[in-house]
Amino acid sequence: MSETEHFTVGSAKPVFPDDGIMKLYSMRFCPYAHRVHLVLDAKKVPHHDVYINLKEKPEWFREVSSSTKVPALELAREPGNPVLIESLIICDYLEEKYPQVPLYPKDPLKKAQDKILVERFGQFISAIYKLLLHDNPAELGNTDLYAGLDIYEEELKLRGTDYFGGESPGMLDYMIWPWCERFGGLKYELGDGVDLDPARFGTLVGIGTVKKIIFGFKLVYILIQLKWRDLMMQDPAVKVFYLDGETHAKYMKTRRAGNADYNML
Amino acid sequence: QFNHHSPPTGSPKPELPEDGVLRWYSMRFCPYSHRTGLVLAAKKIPHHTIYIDLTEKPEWYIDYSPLGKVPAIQLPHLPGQPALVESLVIAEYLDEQYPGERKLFPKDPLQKALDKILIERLSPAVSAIYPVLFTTNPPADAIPNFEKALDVFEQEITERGTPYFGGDKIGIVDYMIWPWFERFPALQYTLESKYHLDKTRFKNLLQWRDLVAQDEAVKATGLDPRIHAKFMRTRHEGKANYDVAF
Repeated sequence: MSETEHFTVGSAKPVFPDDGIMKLYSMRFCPYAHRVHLVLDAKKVPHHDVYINLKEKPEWFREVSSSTKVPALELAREPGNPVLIESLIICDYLEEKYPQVPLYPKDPLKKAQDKILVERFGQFISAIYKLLLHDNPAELGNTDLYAGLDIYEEELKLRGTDYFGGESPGMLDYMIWPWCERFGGLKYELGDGVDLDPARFGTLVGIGTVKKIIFGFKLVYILIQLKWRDLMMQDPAVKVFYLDGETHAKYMKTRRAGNADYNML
Repeated sequence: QFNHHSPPTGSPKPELPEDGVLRWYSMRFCPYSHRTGLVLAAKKIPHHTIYIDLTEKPEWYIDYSPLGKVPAIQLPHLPGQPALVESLVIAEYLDEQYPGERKLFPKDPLQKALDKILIERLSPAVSAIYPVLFTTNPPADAIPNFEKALDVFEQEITERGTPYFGGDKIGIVDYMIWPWFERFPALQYTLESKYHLDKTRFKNLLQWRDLVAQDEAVKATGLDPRIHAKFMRTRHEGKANYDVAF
């Protein structure tokens, strides 16, 4: 039995105790659902995960999510148990409802600028999805896959902090992470050449730099200043849901073949 | 209020007053730009309006809106004179930055999320009707799909049981979806069938539309459906003419 069993046609709707804990309808490999997992885990909001077979959805799912898409978040402490859809709307809701680990900047202008960068990343992703789901990736030739990523490299460099969110990951870091995690899977089918170039994206994925610290006239510490991707991989919320490149590639292959192996894990 | 109608490519950067007043970059017929105009009018935020010709964007426009998009707002009173794009991001920013007496988004996080979801649910209706508005050979199922996508709004206004989606007072959903409801009536003038929304199927939604049409901000920023129709016809001919508004 897979640890992430995906409910499908003919399966009974899972029953949970009346524990006031919200239910996240998800799919283990869906990057949009991944966003919600990250925010819930970063804010340590308890939730039940219900995984859905998206190709053959259980009959009862239509009544849960008006769009029949994941992610969908069923709230358990509001009258009528309303269900929220759309990853960014869900994440904004969680940000406002659970302000204890704030992910957006306080300043309305900075928050708006971060939201614009999140929207822009979505546009970049629509363009790159063709690659992730292409039947014959070799046909894509010399497309500059990562052209849309340059602005993020520049922005992080400009901010001069470990994360877009500053000293810890913020909403922008989490909202783009699911795809950055999946880029690591591309090389398994398309060769090493497709990996993010640390020369071009030095701030995002560069090799860590050695920092020598002089303390009391002596060289005492040699620190490795990690780059964004490595730092994110150490983040507790990222770690909870993390899958390595090889696993993502394995899943994507089944998806490309039209036979997504949801219960692969 | 300073209104500048930008001539196309090759035109010099307009001499804008350096008075620190918010600048709104718009295209007169763009429904997304219209959203920004409604928020600015509803909240009585002082601003200068600069109209941009989208078919031939002036080169200097990229300085204000990085992706050359409308709407954009620029904040000249802030260091670096930052600009914002994306109509919904702009709306949220303005609502937060200028709370005043007219708060458009609900305070409650759940109600705010439900409102945002409802705004998003207009997308299928917009996609379906777009070729009918702007081309001369839309798909045969465009109008049926459009009507089906609007059913959810009839349902929702009926369920909410209030005059506006925002409740007893006009709110963010009303304003964010209004631009399209102002344009649909142009179909009476552009289509031979003189198409209009069915009065039985969309009874409460049409009542809502007539009510919102009376709103001050809507009246201040609106254009008569016949003018929208005129613009749409120029699009049909492949030569969008923004000047029909002036």
